Amino acid sequence: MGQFDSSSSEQQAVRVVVRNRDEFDAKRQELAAAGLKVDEVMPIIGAVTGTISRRDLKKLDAIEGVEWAPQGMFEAS
Amino acid sequence: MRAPNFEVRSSESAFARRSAVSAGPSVAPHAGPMQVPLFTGRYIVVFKSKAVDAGARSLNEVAGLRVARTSEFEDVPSEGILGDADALVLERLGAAVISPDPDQLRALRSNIGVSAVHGDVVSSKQDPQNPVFTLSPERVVSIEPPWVESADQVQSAFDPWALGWWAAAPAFAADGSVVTWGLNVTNVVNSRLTGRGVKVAVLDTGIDPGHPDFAGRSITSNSFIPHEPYVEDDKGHGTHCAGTVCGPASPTTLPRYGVAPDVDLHVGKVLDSTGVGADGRILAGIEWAISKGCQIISMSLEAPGTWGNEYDQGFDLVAQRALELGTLIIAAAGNRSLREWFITMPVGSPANCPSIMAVAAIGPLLDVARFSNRSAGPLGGMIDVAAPGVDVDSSFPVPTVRNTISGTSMATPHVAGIAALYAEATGTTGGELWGLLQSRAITLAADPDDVGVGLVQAP
Repeated sequence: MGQFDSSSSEQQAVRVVVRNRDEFDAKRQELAAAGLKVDEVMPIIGAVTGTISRRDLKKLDAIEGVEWAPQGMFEAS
Repeated sequence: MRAPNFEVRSSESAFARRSAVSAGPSVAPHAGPMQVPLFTGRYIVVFKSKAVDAGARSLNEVAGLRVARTSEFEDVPSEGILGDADALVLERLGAAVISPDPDQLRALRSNIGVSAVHGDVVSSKQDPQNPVFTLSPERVVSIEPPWVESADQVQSAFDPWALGWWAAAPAFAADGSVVTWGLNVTNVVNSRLTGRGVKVAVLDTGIDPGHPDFAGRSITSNSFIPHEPYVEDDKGHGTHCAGTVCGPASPTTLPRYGVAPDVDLHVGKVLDSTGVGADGRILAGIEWAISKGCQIISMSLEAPGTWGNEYDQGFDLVAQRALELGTLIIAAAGNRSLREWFITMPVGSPANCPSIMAVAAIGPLLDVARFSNRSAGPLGGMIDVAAPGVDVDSSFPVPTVRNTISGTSMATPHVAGIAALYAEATGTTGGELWGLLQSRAITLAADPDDVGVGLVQAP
């Protein structure tokens, strides 16, 4: 359970928050270089959403100063 | 199909043990985060709202599981009564404990689509027709969480008369015909403030702009749901929450239900017509609300928390940023508990983030709502305040117009509206506004892990 198939080219929706907002633009470039296809840029909160192939997910781990997670789901409570 | 795996020790009933498994943290409250939880080999399925029947069917149809349901029993089902069932649907909790073999597990995961994976939890987000919300391994947890040390202690939490709550409860004797009980016990009824000049964003399922109580009102709105580019509320949840925040001082029919009638209302549709939304949509809504200058964001939404799991650091970073920019995010603690069966669940996400104010629900007797989630420690998430969340009367899309429903969703907009009153009165925002709300709350008889510092009070 919970293990990504790292050989898969299947796309994973993720969201990324940059720890230091002053580095937001630089981190966006690093994310793009890692293979993230950005859907939405949210500069005020320092976040982006996008998709990335599962085989490239490890590249996100290698980027310092960001918190990323697969996109989850919320419900009305 | 192999033999069922609902093993039971001694004479303890299967369900009682499962209940205990769901009832407490997987590590002692003071234990460090490095302790590794153990798993039972079974799995927990959480169904989407109002999808228990469809979910129960899908367990059988998709994976061939033999399903037993709690409604089939007069009392707590025991191992013998469960027979050869390998799934027990906890109907009022909206969840099931299942014991699948590997093929059945693969079938379930495949059906969910594995569109989102959080650690060991698989959730479906793309398919609104799929009744399954999450599938996760069942953890071995403490069978005696602190709050059930004594049966008398538990009982007392549900007996406000025995605990003298009435000594502190303001205006409680009001009959609710002019204003709702929620506006009575939060002292809104006695406040002359209206939230004028304060911007509040309700991030939810949208709003019914044609509702008679909102007719002619200026509402700033936006939809963040790609397949539903309109802000109209197909579900009713958002209209209800917005009504509690800022329904009119003189609604078309009494009682009054709006806390802060004159706030500058912003409505962001981040949940679709089934009441579901991905976190990317919610982040987009937060970004939009901050960009519009909203001092308060009300989010009556959650993803279930799990005992032993930590809050989402990405969401907390966003909330910290919002506070720095003068925006207080208030979120529902979630409704996954079933306290009459001694099942409590931890604060859901994102309310479990330390920088987001988590709201529990109380009932008209100022007792904890049976469904309201509970604190799970500093890393798992804490309840900050409580507000009315049982039998809450508010606006609903026409033709219903008014509806009385329950949930921490209903408690959250009470707090958001009262926050707007403080912001109007004092000009405070962000962390200072948070502090004001908590410092003016009245202490309740219930455990602070259930209600935080207590019941919020209007200035």
